[in-house]
Amino acid sequence: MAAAAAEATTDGGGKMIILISADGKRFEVTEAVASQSQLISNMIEDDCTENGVRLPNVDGDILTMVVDYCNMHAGDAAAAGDTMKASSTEEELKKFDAELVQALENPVLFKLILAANFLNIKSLLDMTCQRVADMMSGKTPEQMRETFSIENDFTPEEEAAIRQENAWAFDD
Amino acid sequence: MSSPVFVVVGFCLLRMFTLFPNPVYHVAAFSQIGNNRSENTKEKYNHKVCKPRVCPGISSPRWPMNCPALGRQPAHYRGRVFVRSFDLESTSKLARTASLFASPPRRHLNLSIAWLDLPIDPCTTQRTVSSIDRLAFTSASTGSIMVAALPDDVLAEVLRRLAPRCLAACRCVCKPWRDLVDDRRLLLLLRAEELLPRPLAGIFLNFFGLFNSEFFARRPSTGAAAAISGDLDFLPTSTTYGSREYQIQDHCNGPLDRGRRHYEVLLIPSFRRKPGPNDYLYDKLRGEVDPVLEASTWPPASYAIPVFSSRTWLWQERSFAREGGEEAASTVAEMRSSWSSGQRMNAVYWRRALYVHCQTNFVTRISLNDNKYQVIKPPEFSDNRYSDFYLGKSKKGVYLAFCRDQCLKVWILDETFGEMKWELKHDKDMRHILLGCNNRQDDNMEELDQKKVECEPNKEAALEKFEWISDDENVLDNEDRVTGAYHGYIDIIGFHPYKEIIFLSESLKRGLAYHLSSSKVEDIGNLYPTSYNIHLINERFITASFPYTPCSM
Repeated sequence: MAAAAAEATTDGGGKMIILISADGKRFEVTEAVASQSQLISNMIEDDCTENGVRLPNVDGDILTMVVDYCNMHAGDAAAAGDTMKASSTEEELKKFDAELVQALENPVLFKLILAANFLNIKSLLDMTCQRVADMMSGKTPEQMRETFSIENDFTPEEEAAIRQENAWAFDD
Repeated sequence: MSSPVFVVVGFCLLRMFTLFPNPVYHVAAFSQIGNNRSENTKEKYNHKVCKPRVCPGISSPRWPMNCPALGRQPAHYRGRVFVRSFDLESTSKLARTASLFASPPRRHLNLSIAWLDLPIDPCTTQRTVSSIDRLAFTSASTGSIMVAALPDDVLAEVLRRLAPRCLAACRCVCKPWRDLVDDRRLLLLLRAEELLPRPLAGIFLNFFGLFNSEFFARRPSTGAAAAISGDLDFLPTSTTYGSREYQIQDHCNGPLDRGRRHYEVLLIPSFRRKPGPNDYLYDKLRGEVDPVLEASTWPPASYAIPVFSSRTWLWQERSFAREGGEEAASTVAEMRSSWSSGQRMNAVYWRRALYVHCQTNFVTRISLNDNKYQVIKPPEFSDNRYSDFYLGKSKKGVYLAFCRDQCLKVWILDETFGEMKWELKHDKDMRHILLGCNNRQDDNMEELDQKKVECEPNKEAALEKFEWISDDENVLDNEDRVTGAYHGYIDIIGFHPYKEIIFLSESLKRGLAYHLSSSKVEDIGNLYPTSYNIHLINERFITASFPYTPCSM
């Protein structure tokens, strides 16, 4: 609980915030970066970030990705004043985003979604959800079960019935 | 999962369509057969009107008759009514709506209207595991996370991004996904946005001389599908005949805006040959119709249509401005002279516009987005452009079909760049094709009859419930045709909502599904009503017909 650390400032003068993952890893980020998370943004407003923000739902590995993502995207929000910091072009951002999600294994991707959801970072949530949706599209129910390790809990009769209901989705 | 319902009408002065919307209820309209109610009965009936409604002053001179002081709907403007969009919360509200429409304000009111579907299956699985609970268990300790572990809100976020087909496939993956798709009405939302077709339950047919509509469907009466009684017992009893005699005239599905829980009703005037005091454009002070108005063109440049909104509970006029190059289609006098109580005039809802088949055979496209309307003339028919046509909706949008002398022509409306053009899709002499299937008629007839009446809820039948028309089953091979004269009478009874199939009646006896692309004909059963005894089967005795697509899953 490094109370002092929370008051640290960068040379730019932005206030720093400490994020603490479930497994105790600490990340120091600027307010501008952190406040892309609606959750943290609210905490900042409520002034309860003094002792660092504990995120018991988010692993260190995942939080690393989240912080990377937020650092990259801080430019969007704070571009106005802070030009030298994050002047990534739009293309670079897109490329970064694509690489970030493309490479992920399912379990990691889902953890990232959960983290984005928990931290309430809309753009990250959009991106990761879209990734999962892309993985689903064009798949048959069997393939989806396989891809996502889902157990088929329909009885054969139920399954036949439900497939009939949605028969239009299966022809041609 | 859901069920159905319908609605009505008598002598089709007033028609109402409901543009459907809501997942749980489904609305439609009906009107009642019977004139000459006694004054007393009417008064009593009017008292049932549940809520005082104020009718706004009608400013346009085109509506010479103000709404009655009590603020009832202008049902005395004979016309057709369209309901747009909704979600009714309770049956009592439905009942109120029904009584609203059912109140006949004036003598000689031939009709009334009502509504609906009943709640289908509100008791879908209650979700007990909250998102939070799920979140908690996925944290750190467990190494791998399954998709199933995503909180519902997040999974819904994912599913929302899928194309309709893929979403439907997801519904078949496992129960939690199915429940999620159903609970959040994800498919219904897409469907409401017109991205998805609704399944075809069957075809409603009204026969000349029969009081009740016939529902033509190969559908076993399994428990789930029979949530609504077939005799329309929810409709008010006709005071004239002491019984319920309704015919369902049309039904169409409309949009549901996300979260919107309201509907609108549009009343499109129609003109009778001999206008009476309660008719549209009748000038009571003069005791006759206004000759100037009679000679004027129709629809007017600014077309005032009474619209009932469930939000305000009022009828108000809304002006639709004419757009597009077409002049007004007709004159009032011409429309009057074309009046025919037996003419089928359907309406179609497609991409936020209502296409209404009007007297003198033109189509009015009413855009609900920007309050504009456009007159669309039908394609030039070879012999007579005023011939009856059938307006319907199918795979690619708005279709228009016309059949004469066994020659079937079908057009698709091409709206590219806002220009309305009819593109000829099909033009064939049907005789050769149908002769082939006549050959087999005797063999098939008995079996088909059985199918129609059979109520055994066996498994196979249950499977057929949602896909009435197959792609290949039973398709007759054209190669079988024999030479010889064809004597059948072909009438168009509807379009398949999402396949390019047109349904035909052959001499009132047999229903045929004709695949437009392949020219294959599929026999779908005997449609001659059991209680019917008309033998002139080669005349047009079907006075209304339309495919019924209930709002089920």
